[in-house]
Amino acid sequence: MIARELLTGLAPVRRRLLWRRVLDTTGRGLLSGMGAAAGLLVVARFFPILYNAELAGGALVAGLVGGLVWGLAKPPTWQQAAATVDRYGLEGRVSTALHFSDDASAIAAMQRQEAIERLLHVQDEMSEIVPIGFGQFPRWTLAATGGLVLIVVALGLSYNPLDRVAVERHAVQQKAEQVAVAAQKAAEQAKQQGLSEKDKAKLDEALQKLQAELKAAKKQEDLEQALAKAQSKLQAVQADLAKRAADRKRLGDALAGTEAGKALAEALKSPDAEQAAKALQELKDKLADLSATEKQQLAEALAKAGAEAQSGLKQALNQAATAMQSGDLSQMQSSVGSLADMMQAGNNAAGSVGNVGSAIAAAGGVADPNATADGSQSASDGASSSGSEGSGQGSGQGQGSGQGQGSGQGQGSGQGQGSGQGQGSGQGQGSGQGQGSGQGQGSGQGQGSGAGGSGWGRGQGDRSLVMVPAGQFGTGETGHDTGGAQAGGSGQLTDGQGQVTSGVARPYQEVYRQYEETARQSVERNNLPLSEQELIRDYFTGIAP
Amino acid sequence: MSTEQIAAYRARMQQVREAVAQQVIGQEEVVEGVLLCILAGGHALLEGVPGLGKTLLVRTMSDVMDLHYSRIQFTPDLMPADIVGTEILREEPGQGLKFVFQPGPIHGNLVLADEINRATPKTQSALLEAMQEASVTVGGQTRQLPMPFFVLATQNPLELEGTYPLPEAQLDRFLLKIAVPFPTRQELLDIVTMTTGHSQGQPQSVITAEEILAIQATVRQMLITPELIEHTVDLILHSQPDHDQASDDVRRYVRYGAGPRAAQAIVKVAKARAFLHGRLNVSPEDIRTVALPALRHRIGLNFEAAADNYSVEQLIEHLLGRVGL
Repeated sequence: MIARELLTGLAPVRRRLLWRRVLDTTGRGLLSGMGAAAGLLVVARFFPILYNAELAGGALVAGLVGGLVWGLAKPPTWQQAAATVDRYGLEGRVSTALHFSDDASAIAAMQRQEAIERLLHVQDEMSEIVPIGFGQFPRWTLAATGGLVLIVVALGLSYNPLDRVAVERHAVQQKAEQVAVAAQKAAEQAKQQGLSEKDKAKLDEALQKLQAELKAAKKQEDLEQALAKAQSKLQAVQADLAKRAADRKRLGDALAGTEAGKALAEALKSPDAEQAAKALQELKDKLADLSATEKQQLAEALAKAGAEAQSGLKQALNQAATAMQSGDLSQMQSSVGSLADMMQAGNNAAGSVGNVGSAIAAAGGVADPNATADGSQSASDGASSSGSEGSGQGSGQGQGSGQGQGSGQGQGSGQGQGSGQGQGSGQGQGSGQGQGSGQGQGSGQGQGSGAGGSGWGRGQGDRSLVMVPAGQFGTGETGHDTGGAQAGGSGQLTDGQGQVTSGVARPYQEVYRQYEETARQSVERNNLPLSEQELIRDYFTGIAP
Repeated sequence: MSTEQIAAYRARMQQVREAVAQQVIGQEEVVEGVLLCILAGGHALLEGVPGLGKTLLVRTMSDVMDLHYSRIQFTPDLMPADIVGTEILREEPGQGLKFVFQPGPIHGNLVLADEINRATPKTQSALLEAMQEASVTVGGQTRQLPMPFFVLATQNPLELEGTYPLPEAQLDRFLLKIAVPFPTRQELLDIVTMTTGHSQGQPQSVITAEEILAIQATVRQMLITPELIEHTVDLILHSQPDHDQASDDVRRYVRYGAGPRAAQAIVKVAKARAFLHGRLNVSPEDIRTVALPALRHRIGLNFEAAADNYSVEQLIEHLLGRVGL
């Protein structure tokens, strides 16, 4: 009973001690949080830190809440409360009474009674015994808190130029991640589109390099540069694949007229690379059974395709043609086997690699170089475009058309600011013979051929950014576009041995303005005839953004 | 025991203080120290230059307490037998010559050992048994001393001529060593005025020996928390230069630290102080206050301390701080 009275008398002290402690720990927590926030904001003035204001706010709240929880987590004990009252003139009476609360001796009972009486006397003085408020904090704490508040408010409200850098860097990193994911995904799809192992390795290498550069990218320029490099590499792979596809097409066309190569010609039309390889294997197996005429036809077809080939197949085709002409079976088989190895890539491989570049461009938010080609690869008749390697984004357009069952072929070349325009016309001749009968059956045959043209003009792709080579080096001849400015002209591009380093994507307007200014100055300086000047002006009018 | 009884005892002790105050001007702390020793059942060593009223204080104490008082003036030629007593040959009527024990001045309730450090160590040690056991052994026979038994010794500062320092064992027997300060100007004026006019009357006895024994028993019952006892023990341990937690000051300046009797003395005197101050419990302040007189003669400082002018009082303050008192 007496012990309960003692605890009842001590309860207000303990309660006030708890609040005092909570205030104390909360104040310390706030001070710590304030210090952390100020430190963070100061550091953010020298190094870009994303969401530094939010983080500083978080540190403040964390300090405050942490202090509060810490204060509440360890409430003062009864002994601490007793010791606190004892210090207020009770001279150890309450602590002793609390300790001997279970002692039944007379002296202990008297001492408890005395302690309770003294404790009751000081009940009204609790605010003096346990003061709560600002007075409980040391002055230096209040001064430090005030100073930190000023610092945090000043830093938090004033403009920090590095915030923009941090946001930009974050955006770049996010975009880089998106690009990396998109590129990986597109590459996986591309690998399933009949790429050879060598091409897959090239693709992987380009993507690995891209990912490494993306990881290191800190600015938009870094990102664009990395994308430009990757696209440049992918375009090289794509161009090689396109040439090989064109060569396959030529081979197919050449073989179509031979008895022994018909099956192979049909197989080469298929996008499935395995079919072509299989057909070649079959041809290799039946080489021994071919007649001399058939071999000769094959040799001629191979030689024709080899002469026109532009890719790495050229040498293999020429070797195969030579072997056929020699009549040496083992040589023939060997050369056809080599040819089969090189035919691994399907007709769609170039497009699939192009898709990777498009995916990267889409994810990275830059111009898709494939789009500027304006369907150069879309000619269904196998028309291909070849731009100068030196011109980077140059493209040509060729359209060929055939009629009937003929095939068209077109070549086009372009140079300049990313587009070419050409018109090609095809002429087809066909003859049909039919015999009518009452039953209405008939058949027809036709042959046609087409040739594409070359020209210049504006493509239909995204022109907001164009690739600008960083430099052109080398001693070879540069390309010359001899085609006229009018539609349907023919052009010839001599591909020199120059090397162009990959450049960066720049706004088309900027490139156009610079190009146009340079040309204007050149025209004025060289005092060109008016007709020529008009031609140049028309050109720039035609490609004006 | 009842509250009223305790209150009566306190009132009686207050009367003692007032009676002493009529004879001894000032020196309240010294008077309280002596009273604390009496209530705690121990002996006190008063140190001060001659003429400060040490002897007057002890004699007044004996008067107001109605105790058998005896005085031993220590001199270099004083012999142990002069203190404890001796057997003498006496002719008893009808029995012839017979050895009879002649008690020495130690056989009293309140013994004033005046200028104790003027006797040789051999004579000083004659007090050892009496102070520790309250008995003396003479001629192979141990004799109990009357209770209560207090030795109130006075000594001149050691630097004076013709003094012999008390050995550590002897010093340890004194519960407190009380420094008697020089009186203040006002006290001195009062002393001169009072002692040069009409002769003062003999102080009246206000307390009996039995009451003193009863109060001593009551004092021993005062409550002390284990925490305070722990603080006291820590205080003693920290005074040992070889102790693990000894401070740099202790290691550097202390030759020997306080022993277990010091802890007992502190607790006993603290209880007496609590009683005198109207409490039934010992407070930290009690421990803090009695630590100095209880320890100052139990801790020996080395030469380096003297060279650095480092006093034992400084050391005790340092130790109190170390243990959180």
